[in-house]
Amino acid sequence: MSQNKEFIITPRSKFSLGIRELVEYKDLIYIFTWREIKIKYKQTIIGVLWVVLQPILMMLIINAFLSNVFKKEITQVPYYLYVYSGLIGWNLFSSSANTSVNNILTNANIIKKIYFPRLIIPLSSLLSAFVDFFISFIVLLLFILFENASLFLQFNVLYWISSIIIISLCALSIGLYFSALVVKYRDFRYVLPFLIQLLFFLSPVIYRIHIEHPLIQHLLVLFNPMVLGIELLRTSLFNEPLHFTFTQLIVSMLILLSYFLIGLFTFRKTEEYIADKI
Amino acid sequence: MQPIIEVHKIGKKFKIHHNKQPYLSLRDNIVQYIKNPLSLFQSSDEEFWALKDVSFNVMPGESIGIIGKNGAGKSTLLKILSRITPPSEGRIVLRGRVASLLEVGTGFHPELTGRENVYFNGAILGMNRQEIKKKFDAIVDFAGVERFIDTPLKHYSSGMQLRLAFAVAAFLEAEILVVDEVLAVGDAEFQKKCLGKMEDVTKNEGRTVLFVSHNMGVIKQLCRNAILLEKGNTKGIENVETAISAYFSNNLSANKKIDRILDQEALEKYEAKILEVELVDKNLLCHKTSFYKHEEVVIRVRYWSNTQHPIMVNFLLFNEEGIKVMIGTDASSDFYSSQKKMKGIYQTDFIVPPNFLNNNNYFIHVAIDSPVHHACYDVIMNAAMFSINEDNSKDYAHRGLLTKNYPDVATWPLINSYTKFLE
Repeated sequence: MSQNKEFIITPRSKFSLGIRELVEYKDLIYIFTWREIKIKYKQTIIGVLWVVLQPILMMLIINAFLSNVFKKEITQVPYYLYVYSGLIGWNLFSSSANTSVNNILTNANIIKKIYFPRLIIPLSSLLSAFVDFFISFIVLLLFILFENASLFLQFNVLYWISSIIIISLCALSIGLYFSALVVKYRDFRYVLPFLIQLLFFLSPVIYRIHIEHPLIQHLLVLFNPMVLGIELLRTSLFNEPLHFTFTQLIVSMLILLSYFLIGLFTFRKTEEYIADKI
Repeated sequence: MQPIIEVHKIGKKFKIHHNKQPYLSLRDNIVQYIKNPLSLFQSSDEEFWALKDVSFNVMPGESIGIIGKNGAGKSTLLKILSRITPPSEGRIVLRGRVASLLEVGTGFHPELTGRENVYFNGAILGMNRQEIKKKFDAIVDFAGVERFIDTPLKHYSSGMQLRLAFAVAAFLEAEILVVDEVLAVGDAEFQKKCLGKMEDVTKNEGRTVLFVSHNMGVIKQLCRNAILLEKGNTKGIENVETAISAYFSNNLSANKKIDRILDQEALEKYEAKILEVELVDKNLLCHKTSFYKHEEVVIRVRYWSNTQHPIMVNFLLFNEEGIKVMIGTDASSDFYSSQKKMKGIYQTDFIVPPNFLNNNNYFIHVAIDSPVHHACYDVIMNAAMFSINEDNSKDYAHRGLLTKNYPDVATWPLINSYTKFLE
């Protein structure tokens, strides 16, 4: 018995993040993610094909209706590729945030009956969204292969990785914050889709961020970190300029970090009474 | 040797919201703040201590029963021990992994196959993938679902789901097992198998088990010691017999009679209402809760009736093991034409025959309903309790030389038997 670990249960301390515990539970993170993916496409006829189809269909719709409006701003990259590359980054963000909030509620009975670090739920939602992202990304690479890409293609691994990190942090910030809110007030379950829809139009997914009014552009660039995420993702692939000054880049990242910390601490605080309240 | 569980002055505080919804809606809160802006700063919530000053130590290999009435804090204690909810005060040291079986089958998903569910369920209960892989065959074998293991769970019968769920739980390797009423599932045969497995876990594998059940028979069978919780308090670990008898005697004295006499005006609102349930001695006509086997138990129910419909008073008797022993009604053959048409207070005596019930503790639910309208006017659960004891004086010892008890047998009537010498 002496080699056994000691657990000490006391009233919760306010400022622990529980990261070490997450490492201990890495198997469970894996299995939650795996279950999420399995459940998502069970009972659908074409199954995983939906992952591929969703962004393509969306891209086709946007391309059909909006290409004339926005095309002229985008010079080298074909508009459909411009939209598709934005959409897959956007989907990583929106599906991760949405799933995280829904999973807190659908897993309520597990939360009430078994202990595990609750952070696993938003985390596994993000990880399962990653699977979709990578599949869609491979499709993007296929698209590029069919185009005469040498005109606009450039691949920057550093940009690519940082764009994924930034989009993940955005998704976690909103996912954690709303998961915490929804435990207390179910209303936020219905607020989230609207917020995400609004952010969609405030992010350069279907248009290029190039607004005449400098103040609006400035605010958007600073307070919506998804602008940075999507732009970086695109710049990592195409010969597209990054519409950020160095100061904007730093401030935007600091604002993102503060969003993330607010989300994380709100979630940790809710975690304390989540089993009693959900 | 160090105790494997040290619980030191644990307390758990809940806030009672004076708000009937299970969750808050933002609208309600906003409306409340607009109506009464000060309520932002003052809390209207009442505090309630579900547990207070609970302390005990458990040594490795012990199995401890946790007993107490509903709402005494049993589930809260288990939830704190399994870290689902943190305590408000106090400190617990656990020297080993805890696996909680607060409900079997938690996290089962109908769309996933049996195999996938075993992996997921095992993982949330604290097994890692290697462990599950190693035990997979044993789990499936114990549950007896080999043929369906790759079928989605939604095609399983509920019995199969329960068996699979219990099987996963039974093969956990944690040093401390926390078990809440799991044995109340499945058919009789599987229950026996579960019970056997639990005994195996405690007695042979030497693991520590905390066991909550309302079934005193099972508690007695599995545990030597027990904790009796009463309104969030406990005296600590006691011998299981002592704890169980304390549990019953507390309840018996608390339930001498249910006294619900209301004034006339209040009564007018009800169509029928039970006012009082008590147990009386037939000869002495006094209140009593402990009867000898040869005595008649009289269950006296007083009730108010103000209805034109025929009403029926009935009771359900069940024992410590939770076995429903008998029901009784006052309905007779001339039921529809007879009595109870006048508004007023009635009294019905039910006479439980003597030499009929086995030695045990019995609980009574009483209800008034209408067999015509299928309406239930009033129910009192656990309205009264009594015990049947053996009178060992010679005259009444009809069990003769049999000294063994059969607590899981509901009735032990005095049977007429005739024996004659043949050859």
